[in-house]
Amino acid sequence: MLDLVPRARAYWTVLPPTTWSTLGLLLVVAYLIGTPLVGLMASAVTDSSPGTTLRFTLAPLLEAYYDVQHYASLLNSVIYSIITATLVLMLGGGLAWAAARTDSAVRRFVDLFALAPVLIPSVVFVAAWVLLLGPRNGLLNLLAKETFGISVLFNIYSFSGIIWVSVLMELPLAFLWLWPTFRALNPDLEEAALAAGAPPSMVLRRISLPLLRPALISAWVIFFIYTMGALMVPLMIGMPARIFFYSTEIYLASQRVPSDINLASAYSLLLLATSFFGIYAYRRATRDTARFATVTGKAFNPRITKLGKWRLPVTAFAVLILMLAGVLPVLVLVWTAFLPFPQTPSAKSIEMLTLNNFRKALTYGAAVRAFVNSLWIGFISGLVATVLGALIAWSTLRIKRPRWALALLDYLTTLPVAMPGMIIGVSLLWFYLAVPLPIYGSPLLFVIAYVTLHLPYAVRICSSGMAQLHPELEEAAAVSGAHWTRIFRRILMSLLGPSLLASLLYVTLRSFREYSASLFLATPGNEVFSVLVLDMADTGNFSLLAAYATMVVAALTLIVGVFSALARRAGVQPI
Amino acid sequence: MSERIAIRDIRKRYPGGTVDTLKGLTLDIKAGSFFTLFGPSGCGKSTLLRCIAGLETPDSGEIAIGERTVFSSTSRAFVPTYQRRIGMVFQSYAIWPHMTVVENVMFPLEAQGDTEGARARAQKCLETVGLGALSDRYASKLSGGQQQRVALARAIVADPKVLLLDEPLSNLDAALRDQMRAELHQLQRRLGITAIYVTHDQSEALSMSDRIAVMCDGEVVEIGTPDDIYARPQSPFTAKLIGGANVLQGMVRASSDGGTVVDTTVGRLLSSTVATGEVQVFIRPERLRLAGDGETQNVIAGRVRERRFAGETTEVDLGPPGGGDAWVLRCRVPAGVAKAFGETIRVTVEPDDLRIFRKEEA
Repeated sequence: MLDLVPRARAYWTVLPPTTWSTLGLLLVVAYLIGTPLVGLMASAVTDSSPGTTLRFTLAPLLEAYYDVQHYASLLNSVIYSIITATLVLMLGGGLAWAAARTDSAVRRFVDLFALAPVLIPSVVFVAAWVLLLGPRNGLLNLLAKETFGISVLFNIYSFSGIIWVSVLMELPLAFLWLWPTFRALNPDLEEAALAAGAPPSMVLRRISLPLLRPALISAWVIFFIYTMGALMVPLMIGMPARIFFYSTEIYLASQRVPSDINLASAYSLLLLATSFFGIYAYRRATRDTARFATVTGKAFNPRITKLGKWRLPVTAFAVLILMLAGVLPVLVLVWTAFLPFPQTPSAKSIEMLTLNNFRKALTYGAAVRAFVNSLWIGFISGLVATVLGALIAWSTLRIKRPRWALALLDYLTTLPVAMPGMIIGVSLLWFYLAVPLPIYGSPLLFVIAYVTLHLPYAVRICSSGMAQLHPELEEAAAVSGAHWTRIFRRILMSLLGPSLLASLLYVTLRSFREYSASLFLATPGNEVFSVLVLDMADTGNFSLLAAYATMVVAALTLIVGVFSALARRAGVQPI
Repeated sequence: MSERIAIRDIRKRYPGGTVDTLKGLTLDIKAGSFFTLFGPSGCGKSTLLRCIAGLETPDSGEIAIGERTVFSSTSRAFVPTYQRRIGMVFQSYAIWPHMTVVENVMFPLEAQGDTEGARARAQKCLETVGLGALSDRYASKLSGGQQQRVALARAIVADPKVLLLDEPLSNLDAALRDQMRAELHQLQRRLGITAIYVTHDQSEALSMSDRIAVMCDGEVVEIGTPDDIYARPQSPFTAKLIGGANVLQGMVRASSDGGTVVDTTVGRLLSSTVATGEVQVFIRPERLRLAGDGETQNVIAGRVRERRFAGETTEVDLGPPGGGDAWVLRCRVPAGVAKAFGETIRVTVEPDDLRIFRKEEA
């Protein structure tokens, strides 16, 4: 900063405004990330119920880590997560490759893969698979029994059932994670190898895969952490099957009467450590990023491989996956929703079709309020996360100093990737019970949790949009005499519209389907959608659940449809 | 060692495209020659090169490298890239970032199963391009010029029959570009390899090539030696593309074997090209020289409107002696003799250097 008129000035007016904005952001992010971490650690070494005077003790830690059962659950979780992450990487990666780099019809399904996880919340997805493969009433099992006389085709309440549902649930996410990476690989590098005389299999083995290695490893680590912290499948399928996972233990500790948040926190510490170790190991393994293909924001026309006789099988496989990960679950929900009890399609069952379930679902507890709550809380979270995300992305990409503050900001915003929703839930619950702020029991608690959880993704979406904006566009505005606030408003915001909308939609919908933090934070009057569905499943009301889920999926489809239409009219390509 | 390349009636349209990128191209490239595909961006020169490499498949036609047909739409032959025995240098260099320099250069030998003494041969090849000392570095630690040399070493290490170069110098700075141009040319001569070079830079095309094919909108406009293309362009497109010629509108008054008299905006001129009707007249700036006092043929008087110092010459823009914008004629005159702003000078051009094209051609 050039100061042509040297004058004695107070220190705070000498600092450029961008420094103040950076420090402000840092404070907000530090609060968002810091409270769960502080809460978790404080909670793990106290035994008084939150709100009363804190009494320090090692009892929760001792209880948690002396328990042998605890390590058995941990082992279960590790095995489950390794298998799931590996299968998801292979299948999702394979499909993403087929979509991004081959002439198969899979590339036309990209939007469908993007939509499946958005329109079918995970609690609904798991419930649908229980309806399909439950041992007694599962539709596919009933069909097998009626047609082939097999008593139980496949029991979902088993370890393989857990893997099956988890893999199908995470597949679309893996697909979306890897697809842009595969497209971003510079095709010249592969063509140079072909020109050097290497057959395609050798190009894949020696060039493409080694270049993608960091991206693949990071994807695996993310899937692993995600599965370790996932609660829905362990809860809805693992518990009835008497298979306990680490996340189940944390949940059970917080749910027992009287609830023991301290024990849940003590358990959570190890889960958090595992996640952080995963991220750390990945970062170490891929330090020299210049040697690898990374997403640079540069657009390539990816090299398309002609599959020849493999084209049809690959396409068929993708269609099968789409059926299993999207179509079949929705169909079974809709079918079950109209029936008094689960049964296979027949003339008799068609006579029994009824709207009763819908009527009951609408009056079931806080069903309507939960849906509305989830929607508006999700939207507010999306708004807050996007504004924060845009500011953070701009600061880390464009402001040069103070360097330590920017580095810290960048580091802090990536942390939630390693923080499972459950941990955010447990720690925020304890923290806001302990501090005398009117936040516990209010929707604000959900907003804080959702913003924290989804901030890394908001930042990622915003900065990928911003990375494509050349700094000279901003510099030209600065040269024209625009103040940095005007540059941000008139240049960046106008050009970034699409990324911001994408971030808003993403965080809103992710918040809507969020369950693992919500389970801990819901209070009477502050119900959210996932928690209510889980309650229906707990009480065995699957027909009612199906009707409720059908209505929600229909509403989400409508909302996303209207949003896309509006965005397209405004000239923006959503997600 | 080297092979000729025969290209017959190659057509190519990209999926979803509305026009053919290549519109039935036919070319014969002599073994051991340095052949340049020259044209503005989007003319299809890179696509043609990629068809020769087998990285794109033409819709129809035939390509032969030496005696081997590598593509034929009639006999449905297609030899994949990795079996074509070519070397290729990419515009982005495409140095594999996860391998060291010497590993990059060894790769073609490995890929072709020729691993005996691969490392030593790669090392020797690196010394040829002056990078012997850097063999254990990773590509990300190299400068643009160094990456360029690695790409070149990698392209020639396995003794390919044909060397394909896709605008290899366009990412280098001017001084390095001149140096690499000379080295590349020397290397090609020494190896006696057939080289096909794609560029939109006229000085590259003119200085290195044995023959140049000028391309426009997926067609070859003309083929010739650099001298032909520059001094005797056969089409107005080439004349405009190379050398920044002055273009004058004119009408032919009389034409015979002895020459053509044409009335232009700057006056009556004599050309040795035969033509009739409405025409366009092309004059290269450096072919205009100051007229001596006694000269009368093809003399144009003009007032100095602009003058720009350009080292050994001065570029002067002339306009009508009475002022106005009726015409502008750019000429290049020796630096010492340039006249002052506003002065009227007389320039002249030889009838041989005055190219005339019929209006509809242009």
